[in-house]
Amino acid sequence: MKKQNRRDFLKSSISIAGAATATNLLLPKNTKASPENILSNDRFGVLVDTTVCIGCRKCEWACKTAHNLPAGDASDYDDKKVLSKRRRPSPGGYTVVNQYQTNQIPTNVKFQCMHCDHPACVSACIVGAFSKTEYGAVVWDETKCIGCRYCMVACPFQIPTFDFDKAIEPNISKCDFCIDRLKVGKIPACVEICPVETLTFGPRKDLIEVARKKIKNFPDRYINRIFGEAEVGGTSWLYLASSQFEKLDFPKLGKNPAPGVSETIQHGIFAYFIPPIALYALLGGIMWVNKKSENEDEE
Amino acid sequence: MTEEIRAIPMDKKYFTPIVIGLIILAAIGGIFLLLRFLFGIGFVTNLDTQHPWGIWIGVDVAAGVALAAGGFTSAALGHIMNKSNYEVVIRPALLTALLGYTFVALSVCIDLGRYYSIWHPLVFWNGNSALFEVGICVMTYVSVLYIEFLPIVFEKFVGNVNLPGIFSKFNGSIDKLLRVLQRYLSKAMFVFIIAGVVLSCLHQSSLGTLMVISGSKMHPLWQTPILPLLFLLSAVSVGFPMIIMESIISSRSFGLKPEMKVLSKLGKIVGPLLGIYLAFKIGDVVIRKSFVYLNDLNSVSIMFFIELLVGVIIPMRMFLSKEVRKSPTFIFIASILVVIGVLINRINCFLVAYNPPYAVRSYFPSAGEIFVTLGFISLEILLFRLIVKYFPVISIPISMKHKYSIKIK
Amino acid sequence: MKKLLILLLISVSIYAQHQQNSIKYNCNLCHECENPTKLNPCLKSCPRDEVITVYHSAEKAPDIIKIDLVKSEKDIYQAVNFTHKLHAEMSNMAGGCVICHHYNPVGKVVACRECHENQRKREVLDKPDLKGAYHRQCLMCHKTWKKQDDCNFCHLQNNVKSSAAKQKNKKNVHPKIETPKKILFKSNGYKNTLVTFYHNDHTQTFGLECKSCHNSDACAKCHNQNVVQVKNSSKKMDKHQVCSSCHDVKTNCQECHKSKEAKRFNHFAKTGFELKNYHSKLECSKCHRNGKSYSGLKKECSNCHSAWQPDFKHKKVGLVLSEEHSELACEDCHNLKTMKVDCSNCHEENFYPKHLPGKKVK
Repeated sequence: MKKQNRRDFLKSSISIAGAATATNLLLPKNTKASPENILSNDRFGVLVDTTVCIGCRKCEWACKTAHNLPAGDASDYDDKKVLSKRRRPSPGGYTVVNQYQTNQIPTNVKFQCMHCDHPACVSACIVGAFSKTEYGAVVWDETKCIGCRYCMVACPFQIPTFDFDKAIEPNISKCDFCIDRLKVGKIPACVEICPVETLTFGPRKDLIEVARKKIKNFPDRYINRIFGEAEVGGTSWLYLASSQFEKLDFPKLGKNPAPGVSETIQHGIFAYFIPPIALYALLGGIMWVNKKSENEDEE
Repeated sequence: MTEEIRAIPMDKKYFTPIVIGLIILAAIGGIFLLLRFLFGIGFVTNLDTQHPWGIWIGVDVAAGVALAAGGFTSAALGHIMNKSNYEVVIRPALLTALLGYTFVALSVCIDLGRYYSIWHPLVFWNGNSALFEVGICVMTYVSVLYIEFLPIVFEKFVGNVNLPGIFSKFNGSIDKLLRVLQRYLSKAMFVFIIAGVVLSCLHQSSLGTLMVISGSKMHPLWQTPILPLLFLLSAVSVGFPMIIMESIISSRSFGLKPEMKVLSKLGKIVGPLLGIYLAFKIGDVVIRKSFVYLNDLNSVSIMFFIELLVGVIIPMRMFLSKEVRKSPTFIFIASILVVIGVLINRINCFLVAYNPPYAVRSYFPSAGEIFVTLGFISLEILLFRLIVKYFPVISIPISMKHKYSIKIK
Repeated sequence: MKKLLILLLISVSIYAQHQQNSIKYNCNLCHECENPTKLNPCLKSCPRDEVITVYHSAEKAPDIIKIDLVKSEKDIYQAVNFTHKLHAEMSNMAGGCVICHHYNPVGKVVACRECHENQRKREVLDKPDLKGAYHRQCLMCHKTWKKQDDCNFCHLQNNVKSSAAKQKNKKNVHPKIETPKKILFKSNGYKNTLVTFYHNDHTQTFGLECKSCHNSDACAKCHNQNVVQVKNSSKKMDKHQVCSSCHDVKTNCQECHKSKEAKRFNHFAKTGFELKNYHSKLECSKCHRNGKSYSGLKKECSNCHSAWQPDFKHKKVGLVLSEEHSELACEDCHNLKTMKVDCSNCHEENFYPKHLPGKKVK
């Protein structure tokens, strides 16, 4: 490789510095093209009162019907043996009800996407295919997704699923809060069908008040904790229960938003591109000094 | 008659029994790959909703990127620190990195559910995503690596352009064009060299950031906010051992004398680098008090011990010894240990430590995954051998007299 | 005239207003804070429990109520015919109407829909909507029964034919309840461990109604077939409570707690006074009037029958007096102490009981 001389080096350095400044000016604007993460004050939520649920699994049926998945007949869901299996949301059904033998009367728990306020999937997705909408829903955009499954790695609730058996157009599927129904003023299909109103739909802040009141009025019935109020920075779906949530298969989670540490690191490394440019300048400087001493030696 | 060390094409017989074995491995990998594209990822892998990432990401990508770190560490040493005596290893290291990253990109591509949308990150940006940064940096770095490799291509063809048939009348003008490009590129090359180092530092560390977001799903022994730093340090540490290993293997393979002078010098840096890495690693475990998990003996704690002992502590001690650094065999073993150590570390971080809350079974790679990985590695070695055969990559001492015509038997 | 009318109206309204002001309202009934304002009325949520003030007997309650108010987007099930009367009757053993009609201030019976909105998307979320309220109310008990929280237990699917529907609706009469004849309790605290309880004697002989003992049982106590055995009220006090309305449970332990199984209670064997006819129909306390003690009554009729009512209907004892006897005074035939009949006051021979002074009836 040919060695360049010092004058060339200087000349190119200046042009590089110029280009770097230009990118510096341009890029922060572009990074705002990151996915939406709207935390509307009126965002919706659902309060799940697990002490009420009877495990009729009609929500599973309604969910599949609403999302045009093969749902079968409603009476297919009468089989209660399924409840004792530890099922998880799948590409064929975005919500499941599992049963836990907690007290004399078993507790049924519906699982689906929690629709975090600070979703790990939104933060993680390489192309920003996930976004948190003003309705509170965390939704996936088919047109952007590249199927890298990083959302599945990131999700603290292990919710997104992937069509592992599809060679072409595999989807990431999860509960979308029935966003299409919300947009036309309807409520999610599972909430609509629930016979006992285990699922209460409304503005999240109202639901927290309702939940607090319930805990206050029936201290024997509920433990004093609303799951999702603070977990991973808060979720749109909130849960009440009569026994410890860990016994009901809820993960142990802190109060910090799931993407928190990762984003802090990311933004630290890329704070207005200063660290990379500084590193570039430093390396350039070292190189220049070394070249200079070499040239002096030659002279 | 003065002697000079010069890179020349290794004009040797290509097909050896080992090469044929590698071709068979690559072919088997290719068959599994075909099945993956016909019937989906689930058909050939053991991946499921609980374990979305397997060895294609943990080994092919994460470890692949780390083991290709020789490219930027040697560039930093040779060009930025301007230590010209390392020139001999820079080209092979560059080619290793080039091939390594190309196959990283390929591995990503086959692991993507929608591989045909691999260009999306260029259009749809998510500045919060560590993966986005890794993706963009790797894409850019691969381009930079190809640009860095261009002078080698120019070197082969300048004054040597010989197009077949009717194109032969363009020989002169293309030669002129190449010379112009070569001149300008060599003037601007330092831009790309520095960029390569910066980009490497960025994505080597971001590869660590990748797993930070998995939070409690990752075992506390590995889950730490300084994961990016650990990844960068380990990548920097594995760069030279990788060069040493690869240099000794290709020397053996082409029947050359190992460049022990350069390699021992490189080895001298490895010990302290591993020391720094070890200090951070242990400091992290102590400060976060995660060492409590080492009390009970299980697969996780055993893997942690193996990773540290085999991959860091033993080779560090070896590299610190002068005798080891002088001996081709021992420095080779030490280097292999570091390489294995980093490989295990990446496997640990991405697979062993990943413990999803609702897992009903644990993950072990399927035959398909293993054969595709082996196939890729084989193909990489085959390509290395092929490129080395036709392009001036490997340097050997030659006498000035025979400068332009040399054949090695 | 007009002026006068207006004046009258005004005075009336002022009076009315005055009246209103003088009525004392308890603000805390509805408001949570001391000084509610228009902007922040700090209203309490609708009180869930308010004791029912108007008691309609179960027999007068509506028989079957068709619950067809709730409409969904996709109705999987037909409307439920709720066997109201049946449930009301059974509820007597479990706390009465209030277990469902949990809120009912003075006035008519409040329908569910008056508090519970028939709209799932709504403003006030702290009480369930109508659909939820219905289901929760039913399931409060049904949930605890085996398999009876299946939707099909109450509902018929929409695609089921009407004949099957009719079949289902027939079930509005409670099947006959099998009652135990005898229950042997074992107690641990007392030296004599066995308490023999003749259930049928209590219901038949002593004329106790189901609800006089079973007044706060869980439905599941009977309906729960083998799933969750809701714990019997095992506390010593609870058990004694039920018996204490008739039995002395404080001092006279041996009366019930015996070392071996006790025989059925026999009034004649125990006291020599046979209970027949009218007496057998009486509740114990009609004769044993002085408090809790059931001893000390003498066999003489005059113990109870001291003062005869002039309009006493002799039919009650199972003998309708013939016309000529009906005009007589009691003591003309009876010895007022023993109630023995002596015909010789009028008749020369002792006719009774060879010739009755009337006709026997049942």
